[in-house]
Amino acid sequence: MGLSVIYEYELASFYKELVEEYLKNKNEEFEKLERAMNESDFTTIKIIGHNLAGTGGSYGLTSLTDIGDRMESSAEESNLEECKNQINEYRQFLDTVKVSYK
Amino acid sequence: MSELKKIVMIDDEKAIQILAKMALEKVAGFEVTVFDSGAQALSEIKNVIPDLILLDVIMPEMEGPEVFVELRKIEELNKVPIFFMTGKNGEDEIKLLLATGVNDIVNKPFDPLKLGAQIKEKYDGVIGDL
Repeated sequence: MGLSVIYEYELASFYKELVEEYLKNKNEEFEKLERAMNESDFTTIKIIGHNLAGTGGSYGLTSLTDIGDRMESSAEESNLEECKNQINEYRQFLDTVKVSYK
Repeated sequence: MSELKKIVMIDDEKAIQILAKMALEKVAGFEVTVFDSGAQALSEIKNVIPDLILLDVIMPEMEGPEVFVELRKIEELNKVPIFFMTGKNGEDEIKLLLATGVNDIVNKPFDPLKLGAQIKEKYDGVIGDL
């Protein structure tokens, strides 16, 4: 992505431990996604995108639902270039996201 | 009217299992049993007999609509409402899911702080018709 996007969220205290664990798991899962991208494994990319779409917003991280939705659609179309764009965007999200709690 | 207390959730995604269970138990006060797959649910659900079943649509091996058909064959679950939980929220997709005979749909993503109230409202809406 050419533009610098700031992923910043202020969430209810209910989410505190949940979101930290969720992001830790998503960082661990990212290797699997990169491997799928390198192997043009669209089935795995689609499943990961679908799960991201369903879970991201539920954890209050709405951008992840958007990224996951687009990743799932790109994988359904076997569009590797678009998948790469969304996977890069996802990496940027994981590297920059800041969450505070109220 | 049967009061909603016990919920079975069938979903393969750990992140949803953890969040929904916490939301429905800690926030809404329900008792939740989670199954990772349709096969596990079909084998073990008779030990639970819930008031409501929340069923994920897209799962590996056995998808939600197929699990729904098998659940409806279990006599003890005849009058138990089943709601699909889905991230496929397009109008056509929702129509197709409702055409299976499922009682209602819960959309993903969901707000965990409101999920219990949302489900109870839907439950109260369908329970009188069963």
